[in-house]
Amino acid sequence: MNTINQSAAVIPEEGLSEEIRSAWRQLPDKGFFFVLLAAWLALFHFLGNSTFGYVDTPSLFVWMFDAYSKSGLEGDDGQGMIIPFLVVGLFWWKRKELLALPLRGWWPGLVLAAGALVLHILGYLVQQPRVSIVALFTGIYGLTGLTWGTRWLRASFFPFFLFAFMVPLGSYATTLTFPLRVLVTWIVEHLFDDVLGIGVMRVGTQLFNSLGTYQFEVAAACSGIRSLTSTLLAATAFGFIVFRSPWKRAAMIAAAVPLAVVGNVLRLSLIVGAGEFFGQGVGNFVHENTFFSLLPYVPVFVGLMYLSRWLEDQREPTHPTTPSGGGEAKCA
Amino acid sequence: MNKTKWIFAVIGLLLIGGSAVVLLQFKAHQKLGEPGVKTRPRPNSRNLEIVLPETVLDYTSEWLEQPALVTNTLPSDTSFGSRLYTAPDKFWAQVTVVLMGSDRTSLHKPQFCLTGSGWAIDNNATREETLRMEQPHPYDLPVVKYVASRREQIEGRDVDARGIYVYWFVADDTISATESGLERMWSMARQLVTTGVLQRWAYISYFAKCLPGQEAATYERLKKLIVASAPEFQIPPGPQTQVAATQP
Repeated sequence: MNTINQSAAVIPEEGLSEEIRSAWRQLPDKGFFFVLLAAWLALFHFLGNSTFGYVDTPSLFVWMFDAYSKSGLEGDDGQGMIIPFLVVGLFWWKRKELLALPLRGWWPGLVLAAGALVLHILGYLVQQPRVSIVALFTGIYGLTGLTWGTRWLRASFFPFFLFAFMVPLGSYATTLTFPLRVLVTWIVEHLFDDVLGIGVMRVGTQLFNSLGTYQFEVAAACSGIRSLTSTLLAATAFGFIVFRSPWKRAAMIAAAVPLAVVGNVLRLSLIVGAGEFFGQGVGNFVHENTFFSLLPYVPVFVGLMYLSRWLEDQREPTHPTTPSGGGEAKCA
Repeated sequence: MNKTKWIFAVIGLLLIGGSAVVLLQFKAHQKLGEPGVKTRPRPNSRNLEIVLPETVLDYTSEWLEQPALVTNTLPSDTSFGSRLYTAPDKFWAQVTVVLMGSDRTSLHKPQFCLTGSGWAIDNNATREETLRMEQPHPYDLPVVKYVASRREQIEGRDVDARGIYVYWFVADDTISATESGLERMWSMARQLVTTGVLQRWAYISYFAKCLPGQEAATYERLKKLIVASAPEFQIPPGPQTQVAATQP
């Protein structure tokens, strides 16, 4: 009789479904976590939103969906639709690291969840759903800590904190959009005037020429807040996936703002250039065309890739190693 | 699941359930504050009508009904009042008051209605100012002033129209006028948490159109109209009025 011993570490992978089942089996205390999660989500579904204008619903999730799918003046929060999938995907990517941790309950996680409940009560009372959204995700984070402990909390902080991008800015974005609009307009004015020698005039956030053949207003929707949010999200995820060093991650995140500005300067320059050489109609076409709308992301992602390559070449400070057979000692 | 986990599960569920009870109790017993504007009941409606004066200075007025787009979008317990005031020289100004019910989203930022109507706000010309009110007693009324522009067709010609938009918010004995609206929201939150009373804010706006170059003169006329008309419908703040925000 042959006995075949197989350890979990050498079970052959038989496709994605088997991997999912395997990861599921390895996760302890699932029932405990999902019962609490179900109750948590039910609270926010039935008593999540206390405002009834614009979208009449008691569910915070319906309110959030409406905020993400709105168009027009408040249509800058569409990234909220993809964040859950991104976070789940990143959790899947980190699954081996997470499942290898010693997963033990940690009762202070209940304190974190209780704090989130207080926050939600306050947000509900003062009719601020955005406060409740922060409470929603803080509470889920607390429940994961209650179930699987502090090591899980530390390891899952990224990607969990990407849920911060699910707080819709809505009209509060105007405090960001106006300075961005002014900056982008000012740069394009000087780019055309001083660098290219093409006379472009600016009044506030309006760009036009002396002949009056075109006039473009950089409205709030064109401020670049959408590309800034997308760039920030990409830079953050990229930084945390590729780098372990805090300063390299911070550098990637910090680069999002100037790169988003560059992207929007490119887009506005194309619109103004089209208007300058071919008239208002062609400028409007460039403004509304999908291909030209995506063009600003090219310098963004090229910039992120070049920055990450440069950061990879920056060596971390090395520590002297103790001599050991076959080891290579590196001197800083 | 071991005993400890059972205990924590029960505690967690009790916390969540307890929060639900707290929220339901609060909603049921929430008190709505008094409005800061004069109102009267509307026939066949639970909403109120804002009492705007029919004549002010040498202006006559006509009542304006709110478009369905506005009434269908805002909470159903929102109350409105709007009049178009016209001077003998045909200068006109639209005065609108929006009074919230139990939902603060009745109060929307002016950007929604202005930009939604095709007006582009000139952010460089936006100002937070104060107007000196003499009735019923002297006080400074904080306001926000916008200057906006829009391309219009007048007698077949494309004309650049300019709009002067002045607004502020008033509740029971409280006035607020900041572009961000954060001070008003903070005032509402503080009052709600400390007293359980939801401040019933009214959003008051004055709007007039003019040609480019006439913005300053138009604003002066609006100011005179505000000083003369606001005391007619705005419930006078007490001498010790809490002003949530004002330009120093």
